[in-house]
Amino acid sequence: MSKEEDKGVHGRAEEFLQVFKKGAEFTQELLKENERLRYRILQLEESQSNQEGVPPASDENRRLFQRIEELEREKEEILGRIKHVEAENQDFAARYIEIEEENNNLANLYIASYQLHSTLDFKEVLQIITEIIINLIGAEEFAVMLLDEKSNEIQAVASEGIQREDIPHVKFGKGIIGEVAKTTLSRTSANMFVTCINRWSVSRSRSRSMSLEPWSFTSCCCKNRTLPQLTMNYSPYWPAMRPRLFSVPGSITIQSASFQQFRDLLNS
Amino acid sequence: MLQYNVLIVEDSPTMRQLISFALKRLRGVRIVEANDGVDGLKKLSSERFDLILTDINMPIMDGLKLVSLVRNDANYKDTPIIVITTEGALEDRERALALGANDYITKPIQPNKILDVARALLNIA
Repeated sequence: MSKEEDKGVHGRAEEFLQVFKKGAEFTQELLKENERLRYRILQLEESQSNQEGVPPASDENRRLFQRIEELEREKEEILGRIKHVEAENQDFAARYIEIEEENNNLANLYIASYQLHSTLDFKEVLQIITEIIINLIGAEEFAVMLLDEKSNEIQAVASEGIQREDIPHVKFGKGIIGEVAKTTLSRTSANMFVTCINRWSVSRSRSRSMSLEPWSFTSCCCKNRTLPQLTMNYSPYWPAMRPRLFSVPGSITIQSASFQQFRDLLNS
Repeated sequence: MLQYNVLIVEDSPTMRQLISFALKRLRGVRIVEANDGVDGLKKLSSERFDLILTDINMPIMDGLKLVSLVRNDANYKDTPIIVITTEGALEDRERALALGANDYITKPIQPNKILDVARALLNIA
């Protein structure tokens, strides 16, 4: 083979090698591009799968969103109503307690009235009055005072916590008890009333030669209960009045205003 | 429906009526009244009672004696007893509880209090 032929073969081999190298580079570029594209596809797939949770806005979706809003509003409304009903329930519960209390008071009044009109015997009536005051009102020291219209004197006819004999007579209209008796009895046409008197108030009136006074105006009996002036009528005409009184349990008049009278008299 | 027999031992008719009035609000309650401790014991021997309410100060036999006798009776050793006392008589109350009373109610009587205590002791909802 000649030198020129050698050169030609060598040149072709070089040329082929160059082409081969370019082919290898191109293949590598293609592989890289392929890899890049695969990565890009993965990215796109991932973002697509993330977007699947949020449906694209459509009429159906808008309708559903509106419905959700409506339901939310409805929920708020129902919650408001529940609150209102709960408040109403509390009102009812308070009212129930109030009515229960009222019912108890009426039952007490009925029993007191029933017992008071169950006999015409004066001693039994006094016994019943005393029992009512002790058991229904809870007083431990008091006296039942009766107005003697002939002598115009008020005298104790029954007592609890103090001997009846120790209680002095009170002139009608004189002193606190006399004054209260005058105003209260004349107003209610009763002739008997209950007042809170104890040993202290009796000995005080004796030592100072003054009219008998109640020992307390607001806390005559236990705890926070007060002893109202209980006035009642006891007269020879009672039998005739009995049917009427029977039908009117309120014939036992509770004069709570008498305490105000007591206070006014004390302050004057 | 369950029926509960309740015995009220009290010398005051007013109190008996008051307690009875309150207890009648409970469903299935039958009330028997006794004037004093002896009368109460007679009634206890004649029929079975589920609850006993007794006053302390009574003629013939007082409430404390009654509580003591009832607690020593095998038939009534577990029967609930409510004692009714006056506000001031703390020692009576303590003695009653020591003798075996389950609870006590102080005067003035409040119907709601009677109902609450009776409900609790009779296990009525």
